Amino acid sequence: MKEKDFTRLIDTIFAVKSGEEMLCSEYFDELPRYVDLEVAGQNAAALLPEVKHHMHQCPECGEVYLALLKLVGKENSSDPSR
Amino acid sequence: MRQRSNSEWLTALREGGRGQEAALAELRLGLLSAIRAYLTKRSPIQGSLHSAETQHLAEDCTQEAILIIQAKLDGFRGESQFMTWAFSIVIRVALGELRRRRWRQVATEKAQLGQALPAWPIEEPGPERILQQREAWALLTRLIDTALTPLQRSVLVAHAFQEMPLDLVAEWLGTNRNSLYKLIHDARKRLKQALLAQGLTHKDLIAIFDRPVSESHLSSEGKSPSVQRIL
Repeated sequence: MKEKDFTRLIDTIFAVKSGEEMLCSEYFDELPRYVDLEVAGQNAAALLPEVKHHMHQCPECGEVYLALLKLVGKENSSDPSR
Repeated sequence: MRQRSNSEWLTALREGGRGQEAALAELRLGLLSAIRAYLTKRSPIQGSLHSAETQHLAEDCTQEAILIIQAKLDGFRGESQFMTWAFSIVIRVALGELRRRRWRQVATEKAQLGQALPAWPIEEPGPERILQQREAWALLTRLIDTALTPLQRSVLVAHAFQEMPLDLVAEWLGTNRNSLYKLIHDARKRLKQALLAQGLTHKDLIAIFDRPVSESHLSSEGKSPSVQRIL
């Protein structure tokens, strides 16, 4: 385990919410919208805070977000009309 | 090429004949080129895949993603661009497969899965902070052993410390990813309560593990006040 992964684990322990959190399946339902908002220059984290929180708490889901952002960003950059 | 609207994608993929064939071909081309480029240049968990292997993986992931997309077409809510939704599926397939491959390379003996916490969790601890970090890790180990249920502990050990992908942990335990997330959520709450009950805050732990000693609040004896208080 890298030091950054260990400190992230500590971060997730203290960032845990006392109530329910968005589940992975709900996150994946919302993620495309989140990424589209971000690519469009909107504040996706403010509009969809539960998505932002989940991607922090679940490193694998956060990794999907980063990869999707790269794919969609590249698509957009090659086709500005999209 | 003109971009299809969401409704045009849905109509074309649902109808039979040439319209559907053309839409599937366009979808396949878009997914394949995107995931191939990603696998070639960008995946942080790719490891050392050869170009032919990358091509095969990209094709397999694209094929699987198209099957999922067709099966889930009625579940597309139209709140994003259709292709963003489609990309989200192919990237999940690809990252899931890469995690499985990586896990197979480093797989822990089945008898050890979810069992022993490592003596030390970090690959390269900073030498200046090693004493304080080891003391804090000893406390964390004790709390993981005492504050969590046996199942919570097993999942935390397997996923966080043995780096078993969440989907594989779910398969191993005969459950699903959502249930595991809930279980980990509850485990985190218990650990947070236990740490706070010991007087150890987020700031304390991050100071021990994430900041150079000169910037931290460690005492001259080499222990942070909180760790000194509780050990």
